[in-house]
Amino acid sequence: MKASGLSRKNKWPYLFIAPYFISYGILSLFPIVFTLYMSLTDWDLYGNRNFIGWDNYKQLFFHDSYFWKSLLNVFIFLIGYLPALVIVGMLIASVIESKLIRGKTFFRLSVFSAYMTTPVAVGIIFALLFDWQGGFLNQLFVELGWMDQKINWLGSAESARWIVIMMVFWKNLGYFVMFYTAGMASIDRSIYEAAVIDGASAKDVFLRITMPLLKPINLFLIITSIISGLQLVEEPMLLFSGWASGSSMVGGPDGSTFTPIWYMFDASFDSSAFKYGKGASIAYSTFLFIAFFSIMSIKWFNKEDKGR
Amino acid sequence: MERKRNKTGTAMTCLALSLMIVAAGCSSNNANSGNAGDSNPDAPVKLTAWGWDKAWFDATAAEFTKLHPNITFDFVEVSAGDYLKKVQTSIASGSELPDIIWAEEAFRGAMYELNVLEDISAEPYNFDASKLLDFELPLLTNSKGELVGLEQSGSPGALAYKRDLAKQYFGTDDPQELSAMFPDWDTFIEKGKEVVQQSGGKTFMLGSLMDAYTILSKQGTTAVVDGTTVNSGVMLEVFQQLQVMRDAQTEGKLGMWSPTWNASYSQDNIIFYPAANWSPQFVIKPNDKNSTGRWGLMVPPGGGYPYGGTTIGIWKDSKNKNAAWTYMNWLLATDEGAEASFKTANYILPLKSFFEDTSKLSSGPDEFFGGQDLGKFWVDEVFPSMQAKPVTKYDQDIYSASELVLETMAQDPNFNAEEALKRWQEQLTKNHSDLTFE
Repeated sequence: MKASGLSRKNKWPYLFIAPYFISYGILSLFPIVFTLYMSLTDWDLYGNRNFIGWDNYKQLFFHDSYFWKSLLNVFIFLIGYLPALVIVGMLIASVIESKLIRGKTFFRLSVFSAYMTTPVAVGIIFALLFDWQGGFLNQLFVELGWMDQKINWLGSAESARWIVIMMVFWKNLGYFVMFYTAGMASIDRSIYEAAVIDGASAKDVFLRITMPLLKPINLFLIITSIISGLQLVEEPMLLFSGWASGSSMVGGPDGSTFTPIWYMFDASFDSSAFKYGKGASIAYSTFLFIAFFSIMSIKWFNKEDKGR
Repeated sequence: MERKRNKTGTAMTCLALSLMIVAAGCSSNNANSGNAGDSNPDAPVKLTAWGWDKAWFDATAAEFTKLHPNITFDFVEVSAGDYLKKVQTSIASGSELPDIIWAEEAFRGAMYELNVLEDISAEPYNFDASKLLDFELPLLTNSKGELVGLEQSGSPGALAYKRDLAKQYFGTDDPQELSAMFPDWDTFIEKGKEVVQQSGGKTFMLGSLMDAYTILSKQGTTAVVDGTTVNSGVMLEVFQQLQVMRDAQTEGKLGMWSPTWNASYSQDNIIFYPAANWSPQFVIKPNDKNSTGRWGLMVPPGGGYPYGGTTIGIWKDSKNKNAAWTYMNWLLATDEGAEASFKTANYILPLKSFFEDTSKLSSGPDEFFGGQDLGKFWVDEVFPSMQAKPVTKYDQDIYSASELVLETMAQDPNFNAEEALKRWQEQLTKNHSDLTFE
């Protein structure tokens, strides 16, 4: 009697997982493959539907400064907020978890509530805060006398990038703290007690015990942050949607906050170009970069582990 | 044995149910828009229309239904900002479009190129384009030269001003005297410098560079894009004029359509705003509710310009084209329809016949505008000199590229017109690599 394959007894497992995989095939796998096909055409809504092979990709990689600029931007953002999230997240988590704080639930919830805000709202609120003429920050600083002229925060490349970094940092801090809190809670108390008996200071405990034991969590957080960071789109797009300032700026001032997925959205849906083929090729190119950097990060982490 | 049969039965039911859920999610919706088709002209027909001006639509449709009781309407509210996206996603997914399609000025060029509108100058409609005022034709024609719709309301553009500020800085609040005082933009900017000086930097002629761009970019007849060739000279002139304005500091650095710009209507920091015939109802009065007699309308330097406007057309694959045409023709190409539009919303149809007796178009003295007769103003002073540029599918992207460039120009005093043009060209080629510049 066969132990594997679709024999009478063994068909049930396959049948039970079939509904999920059928719907996955129709709703996920087919669109993914079809998007790849689309990226090899010049499909737009104005009637073009010709197979053009790798032309979209060639145009993107060799002649498109906006694509490379957008990739550079997301990396700048990642370098800006990821180390800060890791360090500040661990510090805040260890402070909240320590004996110094009472009412831990309140603090945990307050830090996490920023993560629960929808990214669209985050973008719009920051647009209102930093608006040139009507923004809260400008008005406050002028009232207090700290500035005599309102600064156009969102109008210059450097300050626009800092605002995006700040936005993403503010939003994701709660997420990181939550993971670190869970990780710290799972560390055995006896390790800390042993360290204290052995004469370790608080700094030593943090650097030599807590941080190494949180390594798996760090790996997970960093990899997922790279993946989602390279896909950043909603916060900067809504920041520059013109809700508060009246005029939208696709890509921010001088394209300084453009992101690859925003470019995809702009090429396919937002502008009147409706270039689905180009948008598909941007999506796949971004995917390539995400895959590459995720694998690199995992290898780097594992190498560090092996080195011990 | 029985347990096995039960298991089989349950498993099969679960499988069937889950497959049904998946299938239900995938099915497209078959909206059937009309049963009788075009065979019998008196058969009941339900026309679908997507649009944003429900009040006008319902009022005029009611008048139409009195004459053609067999034609009823299903109006779906879609805001102008979402309209193009909704149409393009419907096209991409193969779902049905409405029988009657609207296209606002910002995106009508793109809508024409999507090839979803019926050519009404051809069979069986054979609409005579000479019935319309001459300046309308470039606005309603696609790149193939087909007439693809009719204008909901001629949208003449002028300059709205605050009478008290005009009196204070220019000595008069009479619209004709003011127009004579500002025959061209250079004089306007020069006077603007005086205003800024006298007010100590608190009062400006216009709210932002985009306000000026709204007028400057629409005056004249030279298209910005002809086929795939961009006429950079036209844009350079506009940017140069805007640079002079920026250097003279005659604009308030607000963001057009932002909350602070809306608030400025009731304040004293801005004197002039671009205004169309729909502006009093939708922009000026809502933003300055408590004033009366404070506002006036004048012809801007350089003359009137088309500001806004909506094309209404028939879907190419509609099953009720004849009924849709009956409606459109009555509403937008006959004097009766024009009168119904005028009665409900003071819209002025750009029909030559409707303009023969302009006394009908007087709307009476408007107290909000200091007793000015707005209907007469538009018809006598603005319409006669109006010209329009042809629309293109690049219009929306031209606008957003200009928006981006002018944001930088407004706040960076070293950013000049040539750099603005270069940046503008880069933005435009981002998604339209087929464009060439000359």
